[in-house]
Amino acid sequence: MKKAIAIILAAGLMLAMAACTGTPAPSASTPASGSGSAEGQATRTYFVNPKMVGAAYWEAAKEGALQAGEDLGVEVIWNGTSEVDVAKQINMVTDMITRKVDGIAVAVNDATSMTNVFNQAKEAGIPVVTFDSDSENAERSYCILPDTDEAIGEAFLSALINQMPEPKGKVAVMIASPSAANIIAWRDAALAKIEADYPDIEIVGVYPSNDDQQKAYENAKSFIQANPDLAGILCLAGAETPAACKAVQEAVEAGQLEEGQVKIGGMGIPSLVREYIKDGTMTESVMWNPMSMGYLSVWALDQIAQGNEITDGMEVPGVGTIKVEDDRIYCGTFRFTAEDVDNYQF
Amino acid sequence: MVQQSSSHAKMLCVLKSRYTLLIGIIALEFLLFGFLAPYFLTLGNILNILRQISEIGMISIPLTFLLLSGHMDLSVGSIVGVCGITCGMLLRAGQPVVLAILAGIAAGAVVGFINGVIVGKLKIQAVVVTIGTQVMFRGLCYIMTSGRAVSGYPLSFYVLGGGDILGLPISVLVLGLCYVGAWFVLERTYFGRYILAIGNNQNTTRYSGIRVDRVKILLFTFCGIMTAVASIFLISRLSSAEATLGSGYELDIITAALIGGIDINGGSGKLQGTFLGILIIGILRNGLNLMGLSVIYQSIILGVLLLVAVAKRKG
Repeated sequence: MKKAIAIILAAGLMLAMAACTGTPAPSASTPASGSGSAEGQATRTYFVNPKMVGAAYWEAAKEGALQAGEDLGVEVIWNGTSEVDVAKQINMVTDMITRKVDGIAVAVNDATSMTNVFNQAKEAGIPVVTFDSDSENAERSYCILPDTDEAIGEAFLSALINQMPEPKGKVAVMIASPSAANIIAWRDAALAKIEADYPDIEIVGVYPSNDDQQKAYENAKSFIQANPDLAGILCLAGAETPAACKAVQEAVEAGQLEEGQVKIGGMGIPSLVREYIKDGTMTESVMWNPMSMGYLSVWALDQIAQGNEITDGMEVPGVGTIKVEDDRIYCGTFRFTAEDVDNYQF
Repeated sequence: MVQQSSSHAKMLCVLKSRYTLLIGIIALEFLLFGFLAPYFLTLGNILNILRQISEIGMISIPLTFLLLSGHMDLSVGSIVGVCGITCGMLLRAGQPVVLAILAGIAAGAVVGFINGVIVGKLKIQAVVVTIGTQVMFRGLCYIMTSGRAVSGYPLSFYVLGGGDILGLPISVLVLGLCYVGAWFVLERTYFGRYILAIGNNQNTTRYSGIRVDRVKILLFTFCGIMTAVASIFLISRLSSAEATLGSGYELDIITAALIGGIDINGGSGKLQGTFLGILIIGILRNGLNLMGLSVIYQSIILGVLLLVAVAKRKG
């Protein structure tokens, strides 16, 4: 009995691992196993660590990162936690420092937490870049972002203002993780813009979902319930917009809101808002391409590893012209409507 | 009488074989990862694993006690949050490090005591109570932080999570001491026997004159305190505390305990089993990370391990 179980267990473990290493998805270009024991530094290996894995947004970034790996002929290891978890993210990066990869790109969940880990990487001589969300005081070479936080926050707000008949009334703000530096900065920029330019808009509250779409939906339902005269919802993260659209649609059907009363604007991940933008729940949305950011992370690490300088206006194949300000690399945002939403596959 | 002692001997034998199996799994992990994962078998990485499991390891001690007594605390993850944030906020406010640590521990004692009183005095099932307090304490975390990470601690505080004594991380040393102390309590004191007795048969234990409700309150309070200690090491290592701090810890720890052979209905199991379970999970995560294997597969492998462990119990 004991033996049988031990054998089953061992076989199960082996099978699971074999199955995993067999799939091409987790690591690109060259298989991870075996290459470690060979001392030859034939290919450079970069570790790209998103805030979490599984969501459409991060899957697109992964696609970009793996594409860059293919184009540049380097190995890319893409791995992240299955939910937003700062401690596990740090463990993962520490493990990769132990493995002595040639570069690490991190989408930071909590800016301060990363300081120590990035110091360790620096001591180990491993270059670090951040993407999507920064840890600016930590030891990192570059941060890859869509645009300046101010420009993004205002672009999101403008998507809402454009849809409102006039800029006045009650507006609820939905955010994801309240400790992510970028989301905080967009929120601040949007709120500052409202205070300066749209004095008739009243903010009823800022609702965090912690990257949980169900929570976002529940948040939206409850603030709609509490504010029957709501005029708009400003969504500052990818999962918030479809959640808001769904809640608004249901409230309209239930007769709590009038059709077209609540406008929804902000960040829209095309695949998640496609149905809502086509059925007119909202008419426009703003986004950047996470694929470009994934691509640029690997590209920037490879430039650093080769000792190349990254300068403003450089042409990156597959991404386009990049904007570089100090130690930030911007890939740019775009606005989309029902007409061109199908052009974006993430 | 003869039959009883022979069944006792049989049980001992089963226990022994379980530990052989657990150690076998660890050996298998070392073999596999040593072969497959670059840099797995380095001193730095071994210390790395130990440091990574130290916080969960500390919480696994009182949780094992609770499981042995037939109870469960699903709120430990949220208690990590409450205590870590309490300590972090005081540190940020410039209070002395010692005071902040004591306040964090006191917060743990209070929330643990609340769990204990509800379970012990109001006689509500621990699982139900702690699902409730899990959500409640997590809500408290969001209120305390207003959704922002609490950071900016004095430099001396970082020694706890990052410092070494004789080459060993402080958190690992503390974990080792806690395990030795807890083993002593469980195996060599009356209190340890009360825990197992309650897990075996609560009513009999009560009728033999043991204040079962007090033992429960004590266990939950102890759980709060140990969880607080772990949270302090955690925020020192992370250099910040945010509202989601520690979420999901309870599942990791309960999984480890079950893999380690603790009976979910209480009454049987050994502390060293939990420790081996924690090691197995920690090594697995680290090795798979080093291999660059997606976490999604990691959780599947963990699930298989857990099911096998439970199947073993039935067999």
